Amino acid sequence: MGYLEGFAVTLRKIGEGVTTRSYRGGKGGKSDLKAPKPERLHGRHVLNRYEDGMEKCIGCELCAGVCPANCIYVRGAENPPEDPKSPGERFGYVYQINYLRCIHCDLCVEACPTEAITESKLFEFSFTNRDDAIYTKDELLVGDDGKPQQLPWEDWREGEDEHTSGWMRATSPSGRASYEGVVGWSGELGYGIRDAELGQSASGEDDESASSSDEAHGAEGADH
Amino acid sequence: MTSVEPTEAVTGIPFVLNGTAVEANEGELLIEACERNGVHIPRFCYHNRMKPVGMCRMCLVEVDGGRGPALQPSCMLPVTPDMKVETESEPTKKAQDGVLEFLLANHPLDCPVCDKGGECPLQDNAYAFGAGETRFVEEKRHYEKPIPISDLVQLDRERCILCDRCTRFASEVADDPLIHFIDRGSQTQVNTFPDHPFSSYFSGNTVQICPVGALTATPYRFKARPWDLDAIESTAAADTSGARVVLQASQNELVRTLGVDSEAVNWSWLSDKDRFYYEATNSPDRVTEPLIRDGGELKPTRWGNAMRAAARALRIDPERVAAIGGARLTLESQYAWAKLLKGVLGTDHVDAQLGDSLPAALTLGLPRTTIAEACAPGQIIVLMGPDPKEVAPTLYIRLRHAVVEDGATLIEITPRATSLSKYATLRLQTAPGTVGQVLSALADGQLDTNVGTVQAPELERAHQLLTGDRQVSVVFGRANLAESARYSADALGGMRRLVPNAGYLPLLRRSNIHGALEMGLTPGFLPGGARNRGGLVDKWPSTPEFEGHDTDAILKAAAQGEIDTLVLLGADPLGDFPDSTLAEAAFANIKTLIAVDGLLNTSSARATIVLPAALFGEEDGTFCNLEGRLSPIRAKVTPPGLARPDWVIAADLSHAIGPELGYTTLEELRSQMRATVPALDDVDWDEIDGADDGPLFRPERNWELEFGDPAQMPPTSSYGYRLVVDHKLWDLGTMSQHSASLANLAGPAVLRLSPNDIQLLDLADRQQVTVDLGEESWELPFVADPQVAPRTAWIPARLPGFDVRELLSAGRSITNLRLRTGEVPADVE
Amino acid sequence: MLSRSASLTNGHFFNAVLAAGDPYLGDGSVDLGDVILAIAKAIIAFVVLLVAVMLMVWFERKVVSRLQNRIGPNVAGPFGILQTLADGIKLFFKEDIIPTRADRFVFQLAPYLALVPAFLTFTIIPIAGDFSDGQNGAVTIFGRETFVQVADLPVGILFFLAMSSLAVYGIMLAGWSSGSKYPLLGSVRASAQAISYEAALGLSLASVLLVAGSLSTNEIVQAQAGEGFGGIIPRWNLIVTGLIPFVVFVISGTAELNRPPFDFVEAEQELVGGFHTEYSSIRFSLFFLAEFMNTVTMSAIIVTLFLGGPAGPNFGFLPGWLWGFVWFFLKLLIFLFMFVWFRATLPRLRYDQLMDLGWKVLIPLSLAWLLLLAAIRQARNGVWEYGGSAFNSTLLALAIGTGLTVIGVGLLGLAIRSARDERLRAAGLVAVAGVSDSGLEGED
Repeated sequence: MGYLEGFAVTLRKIGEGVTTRSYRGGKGGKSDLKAPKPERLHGRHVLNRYEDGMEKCIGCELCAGVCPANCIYVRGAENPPEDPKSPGERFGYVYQINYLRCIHCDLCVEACPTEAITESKLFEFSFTNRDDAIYTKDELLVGDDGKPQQLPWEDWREGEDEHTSGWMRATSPSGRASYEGVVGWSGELGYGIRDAELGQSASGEDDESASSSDEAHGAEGADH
Repeated sequence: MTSVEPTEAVTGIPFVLNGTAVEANEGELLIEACERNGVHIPRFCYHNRMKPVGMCRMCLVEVDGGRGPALQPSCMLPVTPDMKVETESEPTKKAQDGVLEFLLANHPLDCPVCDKGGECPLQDNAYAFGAGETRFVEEKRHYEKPIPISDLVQLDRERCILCDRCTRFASEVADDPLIHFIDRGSQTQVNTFPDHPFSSYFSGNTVQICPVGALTATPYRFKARPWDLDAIESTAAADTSGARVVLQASQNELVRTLGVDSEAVNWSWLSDKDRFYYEATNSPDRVTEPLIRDGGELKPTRWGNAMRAAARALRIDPERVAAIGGARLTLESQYAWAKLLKGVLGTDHVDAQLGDSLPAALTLGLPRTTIAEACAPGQIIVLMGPDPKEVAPTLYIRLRHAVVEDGATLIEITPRATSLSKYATLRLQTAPGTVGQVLSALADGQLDTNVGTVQAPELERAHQLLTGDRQVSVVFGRANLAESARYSADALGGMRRLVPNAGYLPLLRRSNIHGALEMGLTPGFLPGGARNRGGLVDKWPSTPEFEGHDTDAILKAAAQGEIDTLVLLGADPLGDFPDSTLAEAAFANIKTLIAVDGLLNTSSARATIVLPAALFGEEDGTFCNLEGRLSPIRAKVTPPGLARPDWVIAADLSHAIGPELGYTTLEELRSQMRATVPALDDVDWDEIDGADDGPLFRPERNWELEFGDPAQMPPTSSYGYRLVVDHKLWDLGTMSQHSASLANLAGPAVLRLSPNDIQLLDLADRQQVTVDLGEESWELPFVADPQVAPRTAWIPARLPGFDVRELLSAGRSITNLRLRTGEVPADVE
Repeated sequence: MLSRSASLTNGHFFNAVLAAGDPYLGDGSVDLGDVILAIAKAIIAFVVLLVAVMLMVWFERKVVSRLQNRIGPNVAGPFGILQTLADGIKLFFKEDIIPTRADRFVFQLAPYLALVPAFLTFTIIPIAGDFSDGQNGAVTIFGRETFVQVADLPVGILFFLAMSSLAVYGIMLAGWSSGSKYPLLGSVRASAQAISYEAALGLSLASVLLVAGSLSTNEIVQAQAGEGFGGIIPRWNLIVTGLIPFVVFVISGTAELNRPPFDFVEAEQELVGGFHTEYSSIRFSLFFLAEFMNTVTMSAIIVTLFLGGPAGPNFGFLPGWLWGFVWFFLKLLIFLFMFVWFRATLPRLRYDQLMDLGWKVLIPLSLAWLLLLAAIRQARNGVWEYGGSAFNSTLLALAIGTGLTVIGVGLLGLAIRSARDERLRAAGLVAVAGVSDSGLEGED
């Protein structure tokens, strides 16, 4: 009868085995099968730095203004003349993100004019109290090697700190495929200027012969 | 398209706006008329409180005045009948596009780092009316940026769109033309003159009116963004003009103050003190918990302990309790403290003025006028007090506008020249001590002899002007601390006799002093300006049984050991009272000094008990300005630590003493005030909150003001220099000193002498002069000042470098200095 | 049967104490050893039941996970076996909240009313014992002969029915005393569901009793332990009563337990938590425990009534009574797995579907079957003599019975259909009055 087919279905599942992936980091001899993440996954933020080590964040509060969850608190301050933190007049003096509120929408990444705030692929960071949930600038800033800092409760794997840069914003500025292959972002500390990604236009061919205005546009974006 | 043919007198000028027939007022500019009819025309350089210049061309609209359509700047065009205006046509849009493109051509891409971002008219207009893309790919012009043009304002020349607003303001409104266009063509920039910083008392206004981020305020630099800010409308309580402001705060900290356009008072302008003294509220030196003196030091304690100690000190013979101060408080707090001191404790030794002002009876008794009436076009303004620019800068702007633009006639009767002197039709230089007799002479019609330094022809002219048929308004105050207040009082008596229907505007120091006087924080008066033993017998538990002392007498009595407990309501007698020796002597004899304040000043640092109070921006209340106009003071941030509003402290203290004051909330306090003071009966506090201009508080006086006979002029001395002491806006006052940006603006104390006198005394190559007074001598720096009259020496009080009060003594009629070079003359020795 | 042991008694004092409770006990036939044995059996049974419940919870979670392609608890202890313990400890440490509007005494009493009947039912179930070759499954402990069940009441099955009725009280009072609307709704529904299915339970049980002839569980097991059909198929009541009472009992039992697909009362999507919404900490854990205890007990009852309990062949190398336990355990495991399988497979029945099933299908079915069985029995026993032999009478009874059943079912179906038409016509009237007509074409 039709009803009993259902029982057969569930019984068959025992034979099919489990689909659970274990990723306990190899602890206890267990396998580490953390699922590979898509390249542009929205995870924990990082504050980037230019290739010469200057912070990209200029404390403009645009990210805080656009955040729909009100989770970013920024205060700008005057760059001390003898020890400027960022190129220009202003730098991010206070920068905090409250991860209890963050919804990882990345509107802040879109809003940032200097590609200072971008997101890494890490989302496995479970803190155990509210104070830990508020990441301060020291924790968000990339280290001197350009890599994001790992806090004690974060579970990083190889490769999750890659692509935490302006490259994330779009490999095709303005969403136009004709900009494909053109570098429109600045260099990162520790990584240099990342290459452009190809393959977005339908034909799959690179558009090397960008028009002069496109290049100028790209160039203007690069030397901020 | 048809013009309306009214049957009665034409009140409006009809014109056609985007195809609809509308009306404009007489003489109204097109841009204003369109705005009133619901069409917003974008603009940058036009400001409704300044004369239009048509520099930015953003307001170009297609106007057909009868000879065909043409693009015209609507801010410079008064509406003519049957004008046809198109604000949405193609040429208009093209013009708006083009103007913005030009403006943005050299405008730097600074929006993320620019303070104006988020509230920038250039951003908004570019977004709403601009093209969306730029064609400018060349290199933009570069200047060094930003440059500080004064301690408070920074200039970024790259961002400037050359709209001329700041320069017009500086020259037209503030009368400090220190900032102007230099260079030409595409290199035109706004800048100051070399070695002349933009140190105007109104520099902060240029920051508010600048349509881009070219002028930014240093205290606000990079502090917050507009979307971070939480705002409320309030009243600036830095001086007695009561300018309306918007207080903005972020993260429970006051961050900025903007001026609000109040037709009656300040026309959207603020003095820099109004604008930046909120920083004192944020000061790290705030008193956050009650302090009690224990073993020589002030130690933190709990409210209960402090209240008990204070109650013990106050529950003594009321004649031995006194209170000084109260001008810092809101109207409600003043009433509460008046009730506590006079109604519950029964003491009448309460004075909000610190002996550097005029008797309260004058302020309360003279018929008050309003700023608008005083500045009415074509009337006469008499200035018989200190320089308005130093005491109430917003009033100065109004007076100057009246005189320069509206044809008012200014008559100055002051011991030294003021900022308005150059606009005065007539200036009577009254040497210290002579002003009473001068007005007497005018009142009595004795115009043929000189009185003091005033010549007969001047008296004649003054008499002619004042007894004409024009309305006279008198702005009066204590012009000189170094002479007795008696002379000013006599002068006012004379004025009363001379012009019986004149209106008066008191120009007193300190913020809510009028509220304090009206609410009875002055000896002999009860709330509503009623005299003791006549007013509130049935509404308060009791009223004082004796006539109390004013501050002078309080300190004298204290010096003789007759006062045991002194309450300081935000006052600083040791720092502010003109006779510092007397103040010191008084403080030495007082047993318990209770200070109710938010910051420790010289006097409260010596207190026995300090009760922390909420300051500006932390409590709700009402402000009463020099016209008697009520305006709301609103809280935007919470008081730090355990600080409380003053009316709460009064209620708790009363409870600790014994009887209750009878209210627990502000609403209950206000209804008590309404019940006690008839003039407040129909005041609706919700209305005050939302109103553009508040109601006038004009209680009926149940007494008459009487003047005695004028005092004689002090004898002239052939080698004495009469001292003039008044105040400057930037001084060592508590709020200024605790505001980080304002603390260093006070200039050094320098004696100012007329160039003639300097020549006479042979002081030309020196920097210092020796001053003799009685037995003592001082070495003072001096400087030549053509504004100072001969035989007069002028030095403002409360400035760093020299405490002028060493030269002053209470009760002295005038202060006669002897000046010399400091070398002992050979023949004397 | 009960032997004396003079050394274990205190003589008169002990008898006096027992006599104070019941004169029947105090006549010297019950001594301290018996009392200690009884208490020991009770304690052991309690412990065994609790451990069984813990393991049942783990078993359920693990098996359900495997049926859903996932692992299930695997962190607390090896294979997650200590997960139940961890959950219990966690629940113990939670805050115990009693709502303001709750009736305190009843609120505190209700979990126990749900828990105790489950345990009490377990007391009548024979867990082990050697029933082969006509033995009665008794074992000897300390020289006393006793059954491997806490007590063998002569009215065991009646006791079971009584206890399951008492359990309904627990649920009903829990919901009512919570002082809040969701529990009230949940408990009302739960009690209505329970009493509806109890009728079916009782009626299908009656078929078993008819066949076994006794209310005592021990005797029912003995009745099934004999020679099977053709020596291979055992004489289980499952087969002897026909298949129908077994099916009806299982379904009614699932409904009594509030287990899926009849777990509407606990469905979070509908009623938050049903009758145990307002309970927290230990009280909630008691309800939780009670539900699983009931499951274990119900399975044990089914095994006892229909599958012969501990009865089974004795293959040597283990003592006889232990074989009984082995068979009992294996049969129990089948039913526990069955309940878990139900949970993993079947969607929830809606409340009205649930009630329909209980009243309109199961009760008529079990009643009809009971009557049929009774008729056949009478025929076989020779009360009728028709066609000359018991066999013919049986066939005749069967034919008449089947015919009557068909007629009965047909009439019932007609009645149901006409009731539905009546309902729709009433709704149709509303449509005619002006409300839109859509959705009333056809049924459901």
